[in-house]
Amino acid sequence: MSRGRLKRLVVASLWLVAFLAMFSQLRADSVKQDAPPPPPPAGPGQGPPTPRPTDIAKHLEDVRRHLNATRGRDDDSNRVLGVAQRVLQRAEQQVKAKDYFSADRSIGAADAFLHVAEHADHLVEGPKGPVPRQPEIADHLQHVYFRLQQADFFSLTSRDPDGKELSLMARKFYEESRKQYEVGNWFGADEYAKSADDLLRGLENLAQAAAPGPSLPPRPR
Amino acid sequence: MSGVKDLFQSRFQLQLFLILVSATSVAALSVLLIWDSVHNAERFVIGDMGSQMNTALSELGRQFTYRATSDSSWKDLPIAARDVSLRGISEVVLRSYPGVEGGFYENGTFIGYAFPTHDNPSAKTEVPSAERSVIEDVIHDALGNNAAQRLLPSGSELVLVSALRIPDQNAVVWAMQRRSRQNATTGRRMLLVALLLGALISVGGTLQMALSLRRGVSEIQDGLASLEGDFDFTIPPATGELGEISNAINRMAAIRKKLEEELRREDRLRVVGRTVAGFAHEIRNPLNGIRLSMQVLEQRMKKGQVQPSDLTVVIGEVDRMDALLTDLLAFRNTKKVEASIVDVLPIIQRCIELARPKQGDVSITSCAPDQSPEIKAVVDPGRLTQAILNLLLNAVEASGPNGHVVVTIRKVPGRVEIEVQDSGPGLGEEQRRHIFEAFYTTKPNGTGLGLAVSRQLVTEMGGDLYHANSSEGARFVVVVPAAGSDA
Repeated sequence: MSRGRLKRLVVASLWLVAFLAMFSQLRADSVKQDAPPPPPPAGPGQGPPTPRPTDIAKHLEDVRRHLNATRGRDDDSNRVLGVAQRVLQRAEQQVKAKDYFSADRSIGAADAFLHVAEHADHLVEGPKGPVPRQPEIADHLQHVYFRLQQADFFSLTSRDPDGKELSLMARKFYEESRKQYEVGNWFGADEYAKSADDLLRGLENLAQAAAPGPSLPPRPR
Repeated sequence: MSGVKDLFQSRFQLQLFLILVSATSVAALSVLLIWDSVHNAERFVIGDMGSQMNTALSELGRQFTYRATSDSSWKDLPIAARDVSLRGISEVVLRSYPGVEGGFYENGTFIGYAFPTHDNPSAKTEVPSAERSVIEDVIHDALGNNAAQRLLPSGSELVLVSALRIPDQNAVVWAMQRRSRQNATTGRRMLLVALLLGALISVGGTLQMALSLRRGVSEIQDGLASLEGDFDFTIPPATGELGEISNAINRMAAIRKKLEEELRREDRLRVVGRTVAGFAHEIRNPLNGIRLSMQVLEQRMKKGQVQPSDLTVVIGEVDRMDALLTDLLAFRNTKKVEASIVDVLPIIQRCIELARPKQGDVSITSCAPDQSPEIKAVVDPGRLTQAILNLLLNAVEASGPNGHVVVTIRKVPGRVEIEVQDSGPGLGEEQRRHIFEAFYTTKPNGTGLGLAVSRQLVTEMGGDLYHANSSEGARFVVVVPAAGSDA
């Protein structure tokens, strides 16, 4: 093999190596682009699983039955029961749309509003068991006072048309509870505090129902 | 007086010095504090941020615990639902802590994030991505140590991240706050600059007050010194408390001047009254003598028995009146004093010689300082001779038979003292008080002008004549300025 021919062969080999290296890099890039997207950042999409559809349906039926059996004692009770009825209907639609997370939270809200009406019944019927003691009611009132400050946030987040009215009603119950506490009517103070607390719990559930539900798990690489 | 003034001035200067030292110390301390504070301002701000965030974290943790324990099913809710509940807590709690954002961390997940005091809180729904990894590090530290805090290195901002493990809950509460470095220190710097200015103003004010006080006191001191010799002097008006003192002194001086004038007027009236009475008395005696002589002359003329001796008494009395008038003129002598430096020893000798015809059996001796051939004084020789001769004649007369008079010449710094001591009965209290008044006399035939004239003559030469206490007889001292003295 002549010297010039050897030189040409070496140069050609070098060009070949360079070409192959460049090709392999391009190949690697194209393989990367084909890979699945990175998982979403850790956030509210994880945690305990949403209840199963059958459990949700059963819960919905229970609440509906309970709601149908309950009659409002006063205007506030009737108003709250009306909201509960509406929220329950929305839950049914959410079930149909397979939005089980929102449906579960909406049912929870209706259940909480139902309890508000029950407290109105208790106030009329009087105590049937032991009444909480003064320090417990004071603690509860402290907690309700803090929750009242959350009402605007929940109302805003829920985007519910009755959110503002329910906030004001919770405030009214809280103030009534304070009055009963000041005159030493522990039973009345307890029931009104529970009414306010349940109203706020309902609002919280409505806000949760409006939150984006659990996101899908990340795709495998 | 000057000693007291010096003492007062030195004490005042000491006080001024102490005030200066105190003011300088205060100023230096202020500067030191300011320097220290400016350098520690950032640390102070970080401490304040940390304290604020710790309180917020405790409150968040407490509310989390209450939420978790008051509803047993809450923990089983999907994390999306619990996120809303915890955001409700963060929104309310962090509303009281301006600039603080934060939330919870549970099972490797950020949850319940809120930044309610942000300019646009609805836009702030996610944990800030730039600091996310640091926040996670701090949270992991808190999981191991219950609490953790970290200051993020940042150019223009102070970013502090704190995390606290919630007791009995598998969760951590975290918070983050950022503050501008400039804002953190500017306010404090301004406050400290104001403090420095205040310190400087107070130092300046103290100095000004001290100097003003010093000037005011000095003016009062000078004024008091001037008032000693000049009743018409008025201390310049001043403001403030020193001004009130000056005004009070001026009022006192005015009252004193008025009283002094009244006293002088009364004194003059008294002296004039006594002078007139004495003069009348002295004139009446010779006039009576002349009248009696003239009556005798009249009777003798009727009888034709007039003799030349009858007029002798009249002439004697007229001479006596002439002598009286001569003394009176000497008392108010308008002749100019011709003082010169002379040796007083010859003058004293001449006076002794002049008194010899009247001395009788009274001895006169003179004592001069040893080794002093001459004692020079600034005097008018004629006036000094007249004054000393008066004193000598009085002393001879007062000494009585076999008495003795001693003339002593002393040279003391700035003056020459000539003392005339007799061996007579001396002067009583009442006599000492009036002895130099015109027409006051204790002698039956005296005019009462001798001592008054003598004192007048001596004082006109710049000297003095006074009576000194003595255990034996009377002692009068003539003081004249010594040669070479300023007086």
